[in-house]
Amino acid sequence: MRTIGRVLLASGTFILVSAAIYWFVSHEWAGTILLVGTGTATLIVAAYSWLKVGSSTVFAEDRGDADPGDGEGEAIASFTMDSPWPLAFGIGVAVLAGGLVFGPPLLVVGAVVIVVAIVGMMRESIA
Amino acid sequence: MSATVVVDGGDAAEPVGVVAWLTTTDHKRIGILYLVTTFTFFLLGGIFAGIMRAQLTAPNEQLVGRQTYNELFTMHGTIMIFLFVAPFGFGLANYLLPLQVGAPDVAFPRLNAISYWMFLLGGLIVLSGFLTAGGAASAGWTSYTPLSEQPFQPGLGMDLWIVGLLVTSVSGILTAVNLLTTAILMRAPGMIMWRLPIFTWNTIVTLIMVLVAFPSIAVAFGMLFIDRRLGGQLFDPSAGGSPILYQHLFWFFGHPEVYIMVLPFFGVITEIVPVFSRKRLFGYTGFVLATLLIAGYSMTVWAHHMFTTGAVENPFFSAMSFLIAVPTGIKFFNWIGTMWRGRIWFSTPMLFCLAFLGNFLIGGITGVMVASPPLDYHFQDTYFVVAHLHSVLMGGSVFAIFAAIAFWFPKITGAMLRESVGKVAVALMFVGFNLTFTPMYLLGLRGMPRRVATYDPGLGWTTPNLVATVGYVVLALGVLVFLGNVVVSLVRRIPAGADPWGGYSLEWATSSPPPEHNFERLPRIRSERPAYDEHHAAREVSERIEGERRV
Repeated sequence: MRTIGRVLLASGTFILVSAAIYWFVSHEWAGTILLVGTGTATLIVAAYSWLKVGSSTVFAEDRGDADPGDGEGEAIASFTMDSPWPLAFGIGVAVLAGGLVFGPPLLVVGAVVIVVAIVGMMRESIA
Repeated sequence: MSATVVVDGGDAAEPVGVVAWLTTTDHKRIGILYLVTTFTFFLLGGIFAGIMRAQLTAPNEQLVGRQTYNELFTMHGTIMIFLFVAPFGFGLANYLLPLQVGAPDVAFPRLNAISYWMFLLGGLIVLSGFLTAGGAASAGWTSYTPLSEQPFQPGLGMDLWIVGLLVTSVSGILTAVNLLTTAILMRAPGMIMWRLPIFTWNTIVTLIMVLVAFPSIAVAFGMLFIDRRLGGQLFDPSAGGSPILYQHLFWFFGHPEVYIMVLPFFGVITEIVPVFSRKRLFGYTGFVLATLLIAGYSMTVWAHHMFTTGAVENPFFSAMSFLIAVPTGIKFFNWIGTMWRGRIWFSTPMLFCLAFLGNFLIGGITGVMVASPPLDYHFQDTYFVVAHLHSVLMGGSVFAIFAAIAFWFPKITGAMLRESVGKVAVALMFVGFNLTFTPMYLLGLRGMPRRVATYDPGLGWTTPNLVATVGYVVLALGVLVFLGNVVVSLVRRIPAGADPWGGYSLEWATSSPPPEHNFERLPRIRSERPAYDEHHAAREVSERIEGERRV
């Protein structure tokens, strides 16, 4: 987490500095807003990574001397290896997208399929 | 992490056959689905390229009409960029990244399956434009406004192009979230970030770029759809809109997209070259930092595609474009330094890598040329640009894709490819590629514009076009030989074993193909070459003892 936090911090800072330079040489709004938005969003994630590291212990994957057994913990959830619902969800999205082109009836069908797929996945997780 | 997710099938019978593939959430199967799907799209895009090359073989050819030609070059570019090169990288990462970090699967397996199905169905929506009365989209893969607006593209094909690519863009964002979470939070104990294989590092950087760049194109497509279907005038200058804004949004995605299509394959090359040079990677840390620099600079060069609009700050974008060549050049030093005084094994994957180096170098050098505004004003919209982008993406990324298939085919299938046939494929593809695209540089210098359906004789364009078409045939033959090799090797299998190449990264420490949750037993990870350490530890200890005895 610490390394990825540093990467994001450096990236966000670089993009914001570039935005400042770009604004002063071009006074062009579209590019400046895109750069400032990108840099700020990157720094938000960097800040989250930084805070996360500060408030937690060092994980086994961040310790160079960790052994394979060091990372094991208690089971928190159980998921199946196969599920029909992702395919159903994808079909729902495709029908919904088709509805944007061919008309509202497909939008409704697509939305219903997506809801059914989400409920199906939730029931799988609970089971 | 301190918690474990248990993955099991419960009491239900495991699906088999086609149903197993339709319902799978296993990252390896989804990875294979991506690889097969994207490669099929590649073959389709290649067929479109063949029709265009046949049309341009001689002046005044009328094999297809102008409208059909426009649809073909639009869909060729769309397929290769949105449905092949970048998603092939996602597929490869899907298969390899969890193995390389020592994880049993990706962080969100069902989200992974959703991403794949959205990608496939989004791609089919894009292609379904061919079935509509007005034909497929024909405004070029960039679909600049106002050409892509309703008055100039009245058919439904353009709308299907927009919504289909929106769906694939969202799929890409979901994949990025999933694989980034896997790489950051599901690494095996001891797999610190600075021991990650370079393919995984480059994939991480690529995925961050996806998260940054894809929203921009989603916004551009959304705005275009509003203009076309909901009466918007966002890109209509007569109503206060701005077509240049579309170009800003498009290229703010489009240039990082170039590196999204290249960086994973830099990773592929960097996995293969050390293994077949029998050396460590020269300059691991420098390589990672150069990748990060490329990612950073790639966010600041978008408008070098817009020099000739007269609406952007050319010196700024030119300077940044020159700068980005520096970290790219560093990678060449890494690869050459790795091969230097190595015991090079000229296997099929390594030969594809060497071909990549030559082809990509030409693409890089001509990239510096078009980064110069005075030159770009001459090259803009000529075949020089076509040749340049194909040197980067076809000669670079696609050759790396073939290297990746040749390298990891034994891991994925448990069978070896035929080496001799593989070498024939490399030779044909290398010769074919250069025969196809080198004449295009000449055509560009002679002023042949891109996207023309035919041309008159006497312009000096006939012979280079003929040579390019011959080159295409040789290149296609190479691809077919490679595919034949894959089929024969799958039918008449030569068992590969767990580690046929003496590989370095963690996937070579498990069986071929890997078991359901990837590893029966994880090795200790103490360097960036855990599989090598595992396989050679005993031998090195005995050699050290022998050496101490001699002393």
